[in-house]
Amino acid sequence: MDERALIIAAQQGDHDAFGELVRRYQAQLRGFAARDVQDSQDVYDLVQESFLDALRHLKSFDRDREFYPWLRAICRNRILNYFRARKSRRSGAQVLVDAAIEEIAAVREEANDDSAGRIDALKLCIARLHELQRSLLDLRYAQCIAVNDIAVRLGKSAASVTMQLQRIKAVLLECVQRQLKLAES
Amino acid sequence: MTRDQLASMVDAYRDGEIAPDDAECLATAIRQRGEESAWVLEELQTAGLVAQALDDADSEAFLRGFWERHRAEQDSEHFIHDFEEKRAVESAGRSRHWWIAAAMATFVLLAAGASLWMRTHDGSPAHLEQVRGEVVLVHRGAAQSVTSDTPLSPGDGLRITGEESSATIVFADGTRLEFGEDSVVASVTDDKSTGKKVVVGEGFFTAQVAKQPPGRPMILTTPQSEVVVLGTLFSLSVGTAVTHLETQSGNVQFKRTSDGRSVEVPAGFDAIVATADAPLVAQPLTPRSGTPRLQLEGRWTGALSPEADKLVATRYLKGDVEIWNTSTNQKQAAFRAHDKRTTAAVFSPNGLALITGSLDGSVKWWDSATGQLKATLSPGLGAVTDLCPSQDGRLLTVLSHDEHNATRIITSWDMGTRERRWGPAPLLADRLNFSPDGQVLAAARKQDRFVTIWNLETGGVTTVLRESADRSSGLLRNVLSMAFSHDGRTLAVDDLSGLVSIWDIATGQVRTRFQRHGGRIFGMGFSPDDRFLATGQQDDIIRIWDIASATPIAAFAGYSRTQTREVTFASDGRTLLTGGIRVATADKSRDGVLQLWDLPTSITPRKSDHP
Repeated sequence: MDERALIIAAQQGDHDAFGELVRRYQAQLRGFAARDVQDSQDVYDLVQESFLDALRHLKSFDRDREFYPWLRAICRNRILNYFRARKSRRSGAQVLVDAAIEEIAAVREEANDDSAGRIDALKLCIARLHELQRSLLDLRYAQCIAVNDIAVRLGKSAASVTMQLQRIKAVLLECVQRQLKLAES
Repeated sequence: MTRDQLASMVDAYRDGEIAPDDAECLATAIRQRGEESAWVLEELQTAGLVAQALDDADSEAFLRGFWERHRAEQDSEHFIHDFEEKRAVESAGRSRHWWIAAAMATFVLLAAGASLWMRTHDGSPAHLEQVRGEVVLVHRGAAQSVTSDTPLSPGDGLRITGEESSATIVFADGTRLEFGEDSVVASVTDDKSTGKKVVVGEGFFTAQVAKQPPGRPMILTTPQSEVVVLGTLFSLSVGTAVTHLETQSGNVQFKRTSDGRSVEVPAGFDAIVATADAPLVAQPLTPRSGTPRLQLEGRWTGALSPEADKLVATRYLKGDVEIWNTSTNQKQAAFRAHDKRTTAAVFSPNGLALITGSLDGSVKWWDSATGQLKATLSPGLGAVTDLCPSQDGRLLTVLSHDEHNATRIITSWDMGTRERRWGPAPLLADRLNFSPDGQVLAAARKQDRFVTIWNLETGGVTTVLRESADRSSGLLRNVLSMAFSHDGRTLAVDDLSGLVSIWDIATGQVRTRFQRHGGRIFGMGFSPDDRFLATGQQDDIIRIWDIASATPIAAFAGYSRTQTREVTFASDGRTLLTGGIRVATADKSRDGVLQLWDLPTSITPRKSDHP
């Protein structure tokens, strides 16, 4: 079913049709949110809340417009609210940096966000890493364990863990660029 | 600024450990929109995208989670909508007959006189008493701070959030509702024509309801149920998935909202409303034993010796430590261990030494027979808040609180040489539980949705328990208490939904969940054979649960208004030690109580388990 037909069906209350829209865009929207929100659990919540907002206001959506930009605008509002709401439980120092990121996020050009493609490429590239490198990435980014804690666990200094992560990310970025070029060609 | 410096700052920012000066540098770099700014943003974005790439939740799991959440939101919206609609209809009815209402009001005023008017706080349905901690009044959607004696307007709500917070709603007829922490009251009204109505979103409270006028019972509504009361004493525990009612006197009608079925719950009975397919029946309460074998008031933390023949108890206000003989109930020794409060006291695994930690920042070893000081350790990392020796007698884990940086610090020490093995490491957690063998620590933070498991031998995090993407596992947000089994394979977690979840640490999955009674759990512990779980709860009852059948099989009436955080079975499984902080003493100072309970023979370990 094409997108317009799905939207019409969803506007008439067809939950399966809306489910198909969620299936189609969830990865792209999670990629979009993940650019500004580092905690994957928070990203997950924000994107689910964005789809809930979209479902709530679906009847007012103009079918002649594209669906994803509308969804992305909803998600961006959610992200800005997220930054505002978490201020009270952040340290003063963190809030300084949050504010700077928030300003940049508010004015960034969104037209060509390729986050979903980058996530797919990252999955391929992560699978090619050495097992130790993968487990380090997992500790840091999936389990959100602090660099200092990882350093204690590995018996290394925090600086050396940071450098190791930098090296892994450099390898990944290079690999992702190659994958994206391959996909283009 | 070099890339390495920038990378370290970004890491510190992500971990919540960035120093103010570094934060200023990083924020400036981001705002300049030059090369450094682009690099920092790329770095942050890559981190987010890598986290997504590592997340194995596929689109189907996401979709399942989405519909689950949609359904929960709809249930909640319907609940609030129905409630608002009912209120609007009542209000419209009142305005249609305004002249009757006015005449009746005049009559009531004339008849009741000024004294009644004063008692009802200028027309308010109720007022607040005994307000402690973080309590917020929600008046017409706006949050307001409150004090004891604040009057409530019709329709006002309350949010009681902080640790040790509580508030009591008192109606003009003397009806009292005492709410504990983590309670949300959506609305309070006391309309002369329809009676008292209280809508509770979640939390725990005890109610003492005066006899209500005929035809106008007090009605308490929760997301799952309606409680109709004519005059009685009862307690209600409201989770996001379960409501539990326990009646102490009188009769209460308990109605399940989903299908309209109801049950009478008489005194001495309890009932649970959860899913629509579960039976709705009133069951006799588990009989309660009210007399501990030993009760020490004014003490707040303690530990049993390995043979359970001695009990060490610390006084709350001073650094005093006492050793009691548990066979004779006689004090064997008493001494001032520290100049400031003694926060932890434990026996060494062989029982020969007593180890104490204090707000003065030191750890001391004492001869457990004579009370003679053997050694002192000064980690220099702030106030010592907890200690745990490993059962093999090699390691001592010390938790400290660095007031300057407002962080918890964990360090490991060699018990023999008293040299540091690893650490200091920061510990971002406010809920902690050591395994009985002292090898593992579970750490959680109120706002997080995961629990980290630390290996205390190596000082690293070995496992992270996470809520499943579709929330079908146990909930890990707002964890109040946890307990390891003795085999170290499972972790019991008190769950916001009204359930206790038993997690399998190896698989990271929930093995079983059961509906708890009596409000949230402050402290819990497994029996030596891991068949039973003892819990200290908001209703001041200490319950022993048979995990296999998910039922409470024994209960002790704990000390009134006490947060029982210490719940430990003796190694022989025949005695239970409980200890806690009394939260509502008249002078608002904190105090504690330690109690020793003899366990019924049905709970003591099977012979085959302890040859």
